[in-house]
Amino acid sequence: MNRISADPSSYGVDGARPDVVVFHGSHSPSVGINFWPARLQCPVTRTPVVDAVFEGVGVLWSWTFVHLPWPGAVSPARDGAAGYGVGYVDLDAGPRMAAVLVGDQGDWACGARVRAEPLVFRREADGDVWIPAFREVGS
Amino acid sequence: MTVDSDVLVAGVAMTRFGGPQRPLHHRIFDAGRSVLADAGLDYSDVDSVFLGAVLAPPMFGINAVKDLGLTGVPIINVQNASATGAACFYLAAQAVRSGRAQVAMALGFEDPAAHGWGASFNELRNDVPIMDAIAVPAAVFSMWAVRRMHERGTSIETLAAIAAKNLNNARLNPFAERQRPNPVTVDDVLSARMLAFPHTTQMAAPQGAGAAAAIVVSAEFARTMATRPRVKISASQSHTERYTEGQVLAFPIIGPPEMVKRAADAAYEEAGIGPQDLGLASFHDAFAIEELLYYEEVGLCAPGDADRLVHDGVTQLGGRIPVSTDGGFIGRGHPGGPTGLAQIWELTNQLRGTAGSRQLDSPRHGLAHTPGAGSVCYTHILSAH
Repeated sequence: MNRISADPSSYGVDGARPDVVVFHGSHSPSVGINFWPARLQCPVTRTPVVDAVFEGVGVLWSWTFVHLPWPGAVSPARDGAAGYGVGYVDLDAGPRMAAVLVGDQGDWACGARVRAEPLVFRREADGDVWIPAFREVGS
Repeated sequence: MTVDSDVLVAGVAMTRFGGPQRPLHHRIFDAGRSVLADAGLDYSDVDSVFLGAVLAPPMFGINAVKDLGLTGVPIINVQNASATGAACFYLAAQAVRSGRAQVAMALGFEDPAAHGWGASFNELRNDVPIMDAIAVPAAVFSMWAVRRMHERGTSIETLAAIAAKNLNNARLNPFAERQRPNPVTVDDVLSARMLAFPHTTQMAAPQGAGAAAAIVVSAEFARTMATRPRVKISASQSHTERYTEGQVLAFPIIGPPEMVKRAADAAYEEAGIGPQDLGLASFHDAFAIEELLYYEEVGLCAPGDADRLVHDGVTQLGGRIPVSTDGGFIGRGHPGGPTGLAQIWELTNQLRGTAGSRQLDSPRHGLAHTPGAGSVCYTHILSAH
């Protein structure tokens, strides 16, 4: 089944490695900082940025488990229980982002290595729609 | 901005947050009428109005205040997330300080159940960037709590102690949303339903409807008033983010600590005082972790010492620097638009000695700190005049 990023301008998969999630952001040559989501110009120096792609690997800065249903009209199945994990991930490329975590409360630790994988949350006629979700991969 | 001529708080008012269901425009009218009565003024005296709401439909407020009078007064609508009411107050102070107004009204209002997040989340469609949607405030603030626990060894009991303090303060505030019949214990807070680890529902702010207002006047106008205002705006600061390592640019919610510290430092400098001079403080304690972090960022203690402040009772009523004396966001409530003005309401009442059963012993200075969506931060210092 074809897989469709829910927000292709912000994340997708590596063309050569379809299981590798990548994030589409910006790089500021003037200060050497990477940003995600993409910026229209460098917010530090107000100079031009270039498009950049960051692999979805990094370190878990923090985590929580939200004991509420996923907001919105559609949610990934989670064995029928309400709730989902959320983490702040520092990508190896630099940007910090909030993202879904795979697992349950107690599965995660600050400082753990994590990797993004596609989490399908809706099936459509032309493919499965996914968002990135991070899973611990060991230190 | 620096306040280089005296700007005084002539009146404050709020409706009870939450409580029995009432039409929002009735709450707006009540807050407007009550703040005018508190100041001893008529709506025709007001020459600038700043209305604030986060979620209400466009022009809702301006339609509601028509019941106060059709006087031709300039009215500006403001939205700055949690800091909306604080932004209205900032603009009112700025209008008076600049000389464009002699009497300015700031009025915030909200009915989250009618215009709120639940409705907007349920309308999420396929093309919404859903990664933003999962980072709800409960998730973001709880991640800061887990990080604090990891770095400093903060316990969930410490967070519960902050919440219990604020819920007990709210018992003394007839305008608070949460008014518990019995004293609240740490165990009560811990045994509540988990919202997002480590925060239980009792460590998080309720979001009932409400309205709050303040009237600020120039020193020149104050001399014409029958009852002279007794509270002065010593500092009024508005700041936004600068880039710091670890900055979150998508749905930031909490914002970088650097912004909070910079806004507080600028306010102290403007007021010519330091944190040791404060008699009380009011923070954005939408979740208990926030109050703990802000103790340090606003300078009430050294980095890493906030837990000790809680355990030593320093921030309780009767402590060296009471915080969230009206119940804070956790106890008084956090509708959105009026919240920042409820903070001003409490500071003003404490500084002029009208805080009722929770009245402190003659505080001289109070600080209200109000960030909005992690992207703006207002800090006001009010002083007895």
